[in-house]
This record gives sequence, structure tokens and C-alpha cells, in this order.
Amino acid sequence: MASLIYARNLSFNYTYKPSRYSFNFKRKKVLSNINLTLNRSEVLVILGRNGCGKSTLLRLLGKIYEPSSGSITFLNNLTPRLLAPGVGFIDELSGIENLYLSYSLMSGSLPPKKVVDTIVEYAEIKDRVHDPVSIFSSGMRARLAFATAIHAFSSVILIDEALGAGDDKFRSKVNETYKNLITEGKSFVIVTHNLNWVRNHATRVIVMNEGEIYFDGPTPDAIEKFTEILD
Amino acid sequence: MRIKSFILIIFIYTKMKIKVDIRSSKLGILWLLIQPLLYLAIYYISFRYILKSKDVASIVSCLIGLISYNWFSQALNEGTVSLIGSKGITNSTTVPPFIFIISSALVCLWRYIFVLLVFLVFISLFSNELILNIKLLFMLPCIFFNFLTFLSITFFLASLYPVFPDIKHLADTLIKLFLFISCVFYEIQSVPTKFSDAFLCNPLSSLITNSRTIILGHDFYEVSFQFSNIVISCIFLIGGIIIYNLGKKKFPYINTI
Repeated sequence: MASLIYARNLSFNYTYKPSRYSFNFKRKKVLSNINLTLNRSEVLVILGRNGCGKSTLLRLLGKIYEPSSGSITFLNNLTPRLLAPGVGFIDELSGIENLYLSYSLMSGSLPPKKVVDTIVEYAEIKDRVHDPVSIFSSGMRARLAFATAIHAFSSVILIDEALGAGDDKFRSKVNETYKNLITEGKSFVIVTHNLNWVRNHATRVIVMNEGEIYFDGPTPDAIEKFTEILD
Repeated sequence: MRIKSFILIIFIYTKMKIKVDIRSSKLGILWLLIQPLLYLAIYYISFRYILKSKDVASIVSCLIGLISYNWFSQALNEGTVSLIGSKGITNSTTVPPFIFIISSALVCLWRYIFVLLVFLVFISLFSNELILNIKLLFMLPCIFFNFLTFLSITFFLASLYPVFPDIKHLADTLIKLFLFISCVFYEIQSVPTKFSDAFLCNPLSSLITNSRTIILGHDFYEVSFQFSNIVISCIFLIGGIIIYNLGKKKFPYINTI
């Protein structure tokens, strides 16, 4: 079976100014020698300490950054989408306006009327959808942001430590949605520190350390390796 | 993303930014009209009555100058920070950053057109200096060429800003300088002949002079002025594209620098 994503010898550097007054630029290596594949219906979790390059790898897989060297091949030119709750939200706009704006920024298209209704229903804000989000409670805002993001998906969903939002009831609803999406054949690449979630849902885990893949394999072994790094 | 998606995002983002413009203060859209009137009062009284300058243009001419200057200054000020301002979006989606520069320029263009239309109606109602006629349509190519020029300058400044943030302070100073070197409060005829060609190479001067010619002189606009606009646009656009691409490739974290 062909892989949805196939990354070979991936590395990523960025250039920065060492100090405000400096005119010289320095290069910092964030990722090196990354090789990975993602298959259909796979839930791939990336574990690692803060600053080891997990989020950067996710953005490379989402075509947000370009690799410094190496290559990433996407099956049928698919574009994985980073789940970015609340992206583009503006306080002065109403819930429905923010829904349209955020959805189009994530997907590059307008949400069909049916999808808009589904998102509003899902976020449980039907009566308040025309109010400005500045007067929304933080829970309501998070629910709308999450509901919009989760409905603007593609066949590969990238999640950067944003597995849930809102109260327990809404979190279990989101979890249920993830399960349904996996059953439908969607693939996930998830960066998280929630080991409970990893134990219950991951089909494969990558452990990263200092910009490199330290371990790639089944969940129990990966969690053991991750604990080793933490210690 | 495809071009169709780019256009859609520019449209939606610009539309939402205009809504924010209208809702962000108590008087909302009225500020777009009040601000140039306040400026006009301050400068007109200062130059005409306190300094007793003889070269000050008529109130309507000054108003046309101020509306054009406001467009120029807002386009450059807001456009310069538009790349950095959209870092939350560009770090999470595949939307290319240049879309936010275009969107910022379009919001400023919208404000200019709105203010210009309102003042044109007012001037034609309360003054005998203007008669609404078909020749006003010549404002369209004039606005179009100046939009492209301002967009190119903004593109250059916005691309340079993440790498060299000091450009914002330099740009602020230059924008203020343009208030005095761009025929905002005086007519181009007041400028000594040997400098007038150089004055018209300034895109803001050519916009103001053309607007006055079309609106008050009911005349065709001077096509030759646009030549300098096209040259300036090309220089800034090429410079901007080089810096933008260099920044994108060399500074993938361009938004966080």
C-alpha cells in the first residue's frame, strides 16, 4: 500500500540574528535526518521534550514550512491540514463571521451552508452565533474555534497539542469525532504530552530527541523510551 | 493552494477587516470623514491665517490633497506591519503571507474610495467648484495606477520589516516628509519650474495633481505622470519579490524574528 506521506532525509534549519545589534546571521539546526512514512488510517503520535522539533516537523508535513534539505512526497498531491482552533479569530466580528473567516483560512474555500449549520450545532452556540466573540465566554469561544477547525479537515489531520477544548462533555464529543474520523479512514499526526490519550488511540509513536527520531514503533515501547528521555 | 483560493481568502479577509474598521469605535466609519476634516482645519488655519502663506491652495484642493495623503500614509503604515501582524495565521495554515499585504492595501483603497465619494457628493452640493460629470471616470485609471504603486512600495517595506525592523521608523519619518513635499496644501504651480518635474516623480504628488485636474478642472488626467508611477512600482516590486523570497527561504521563521 502506498504511503500518504513519505519523508526522506529531512532537515530543517532557520537563520536568526544572535543579537538585536548584530548584522550577521546564524543558522540553527532544528531537524536532521528525519525519515518517516504515514499510512492510511494511521494515528501517528510524536512524543518528545519541549524544543526538540515536534511542532516544526508537523509544519513541514503540513506544507507550512519548506524543508532545508531532503524531500517529502505526498500521495496524489494531498495537503495535510493543521488543526488550528481559532486561527484568524477577530474579537469585533460575530461568531458566524469568525466561523466563515477561520474556515476559509484553513481550507481555502467557503463552508457550505450545511457545514455551517453542523459547526454551529456542534459548538452548541446556536442562540449566540450572531453576537461578537468578544462577549463569548472562553468555553464558548473554544468550542466554536474547535468545531470550525475540526470540520475544515482533509484526509490527513495534523494536531499540535490541541486535542480538546471546553468542558468534559465537549471533550468527549471531540474524542468521539476523532474515533469516527479514524473509522472513516482519515489519518492523524499528533503532537501531544497526554500519555493516556496516546495509550488509548495511537497506532504508532515516534519519539524525538534533539531534532532527530530516537524511536519509531509500537505505543508501549515508545512510551518507555520517552520516559527514559525525560529521566 | 490554488489561485481561486487565494482570491477567495483575499476577498473574505478584506471584507472582515472592513467590518472591523466600521465596528472598532463608537463613531465607526464616520472617523474616516472626521479625520481629514480635522487635519484640514489644523493645517489650513495654521498656514493661511497664522503664517499668512499666500501659496495655500483652496479648501477643496487641500481636502483632495489630504484624502490622497491619508490613503498613502495608511497604506504604507498598515501594510508594512501586515506580514508580522498575520504571523498567527501564516504559522498555522498554508495561506501565503503576501495575501495579507494585498488585503491591507485593499482595505486602505476601500477607505480612500469611500471618503472620496462622500466628499465629492458634499462638495458638489455645497460648493460651485465641482459638477459631477462623466470626466470623473478618469479617476478610475488614476486610482488604479496609484494603487499598484502603493502596493509595490508596501510589498517592499513589508518584506524588509521582519529582517530589518528599523525600516518602520524610517518609513514613518519619510511618510511625514511626504506631507510637505507632495503638494498637499499647495498647488504644483507654486513649485519652481526647475523642481516641478522632480515633484511629479513622487507618486503622491502625481495622484494629488491628477485628482485636482480631474475633479476641479474637469479635464483628462495626465498620462505621462503615470510613467513615473510604473517605473517606481517596478523597482519596488522587483526589490520586494527578491527580499520576500529570500526571507521565505532563508528565514522560515520570518514571522517570529
